[in-house]
Amino acid sequence: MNLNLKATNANTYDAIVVGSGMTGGMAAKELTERGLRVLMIERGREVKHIEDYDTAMKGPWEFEHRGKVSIQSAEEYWANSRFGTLANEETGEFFTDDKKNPYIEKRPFDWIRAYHTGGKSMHWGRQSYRMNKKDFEANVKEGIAIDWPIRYEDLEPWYTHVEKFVGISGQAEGWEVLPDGHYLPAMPMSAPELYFRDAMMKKLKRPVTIGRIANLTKPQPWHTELGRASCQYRSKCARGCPYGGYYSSLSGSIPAARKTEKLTVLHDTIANEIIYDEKTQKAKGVRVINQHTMAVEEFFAKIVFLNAGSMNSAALLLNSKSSRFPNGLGNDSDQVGRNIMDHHLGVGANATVEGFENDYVFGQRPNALYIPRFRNWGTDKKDFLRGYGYQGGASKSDWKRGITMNGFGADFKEDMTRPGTWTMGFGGFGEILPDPSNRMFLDKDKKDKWGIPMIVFDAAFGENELAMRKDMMASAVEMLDAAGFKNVSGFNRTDTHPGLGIHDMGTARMGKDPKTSVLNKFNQVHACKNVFVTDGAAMVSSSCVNPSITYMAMTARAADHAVKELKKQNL
Amino acid sequence: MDPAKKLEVIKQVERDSVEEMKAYQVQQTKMGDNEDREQMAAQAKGLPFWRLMKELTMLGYFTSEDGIKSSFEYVPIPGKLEMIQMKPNQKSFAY
Repeated sequence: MNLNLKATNANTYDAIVVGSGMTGGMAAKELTERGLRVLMIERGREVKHIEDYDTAMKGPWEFEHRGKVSIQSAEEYWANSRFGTLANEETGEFFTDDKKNPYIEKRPFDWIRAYHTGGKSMHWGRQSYRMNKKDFEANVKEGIAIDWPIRYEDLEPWYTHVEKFVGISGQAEGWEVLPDGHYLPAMPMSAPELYFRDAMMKKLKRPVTIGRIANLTKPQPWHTELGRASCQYRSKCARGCPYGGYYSSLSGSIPAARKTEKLTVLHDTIANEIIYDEKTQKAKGVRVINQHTMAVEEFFAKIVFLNAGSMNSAALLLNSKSSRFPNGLGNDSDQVGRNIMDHHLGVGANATVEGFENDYVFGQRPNALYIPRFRNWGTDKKDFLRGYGYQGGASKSDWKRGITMNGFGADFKEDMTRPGTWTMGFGGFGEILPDPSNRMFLDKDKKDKWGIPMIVFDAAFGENELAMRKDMMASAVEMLDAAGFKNVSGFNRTDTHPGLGIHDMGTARMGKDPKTSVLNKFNQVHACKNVFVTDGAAMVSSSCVNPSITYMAMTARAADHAVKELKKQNL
Repeated sequence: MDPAKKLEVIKQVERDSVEEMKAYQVQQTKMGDNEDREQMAAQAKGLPFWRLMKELTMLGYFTSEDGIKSSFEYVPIPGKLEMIQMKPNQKSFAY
């Protein structure tokens, strides 16, 4: 009895955060800075900032396959390989072996995972845009799904809060479609890009700006305090940055949380189930499995934050069954696992640019241009709903152009050592509408090697997305043509599925009505208020902007609310 | 075979593989945050010999330590980002 009590005390914290990625890191930082003792549970291996970035400083010749994916890796990383070369020797160790962590596809889902400290914040695209006012109103105005329980104004101070901490370089433009945040100096555009930007405004009235990206162009004192330095323009971010030049949980939120001395991190520990207390009608902790020893253990806390990534957070809710919640914790509405959204991509256009022969760039810009949504905005009206943004830019071609050119021999080789012509291209990120039939659920019989039910995906693009894609390609071609570029060629990949945008979201949506939503306006599970879900699962609609900064803002807001409620003894 | 004849044979192989490649319907695509990717309809059949050998030769050489350092201005840590004008005899930067 006494022993049990001791064990319980040793395993008791103020808060448990499941996941160490983009939002788990932010939750841990915000909660510890408000005085809470936090246990962070990470299912994957420990990656230590800087010292475990094994490939960061390697030259190209130090990789046996020179950036190509070996046949063995392609088999092990079968889902990752649908994206491209993620599983190569430069970055493969920061993605998840799909063969060891399989999932089931009723309809195909491209699930890209990162099971280790920092999760996908390790190699995110770092593009950071605020959702706009209309994004929060679109569902209710168009009669799609349910309304957001919050508006832009609710998140605005929290966007500011996280933007300053993260450090985002960008240009304030004053456009309603892409609300300005707090930015470090913008990265420059190249000469053809400046020409393109001006041509688009003049000819098509479409704005173009430099990407708003979480790379430090001018570190502020709170960045250097955590050991972060300016971007070195190597553009090898996904290998991990030894300078802390870009933001990740590893370079930012986790070090900040550690400074409080209130953070404990458990690695190789899979959260299997939230323990629900029927008497108090609250969650009392989390049951975990050590992924190597299979040992089961329980941890207890006053509040639990789920930040395992949208799909895994939903799976954890579904796997947490009790007599109060026979279909999974917080699943009274049957919406847990439904309404999977993402951003569809792999559609755009490329062209060659004549002229600008004497212009060149020193350094690798880890960033692109951004063309914000113009479709169904203002007076524009199309036969589909919502819109898309483009990312891309111009670059001066290098030796790789020679692969598809004719030529060989000494002159050819010499020619390849010099920069070639400029090319320009961009691809879109399109909004996906919420649809309850796009879902994931737990298989009734099949279990993984830890005895946890396997995740089944059953999702596809709808008519709206497919119609939008045609327009995304056509408009990209139109813009490159309008700029007067040559060899304009559009592309629209037909082999992509939901998930490939790696912006998977929506599986535990917020809402005003517990009958149709899982979370309230502060990301609390309606019927179990000390459980917060603040990753992408909470999203009610997807907007078309890259979502991480929104997830982080929601997380900081929810953490602030949680601590206030704890102080009022409401949780 | 005399050198001129050899050259002509190689050029013919090159012309043939250009024809063969047409069946692959190669498309340059951009993914997500700018991952470039070559889409090919007929990739499963494998690339034509000339195209594959040329790609691997160029990749092997231009990513070798000697190849990079002797061919390009190798700057593993640029430290800054600048829009510049080409110098006479400007080599490509390699990073």
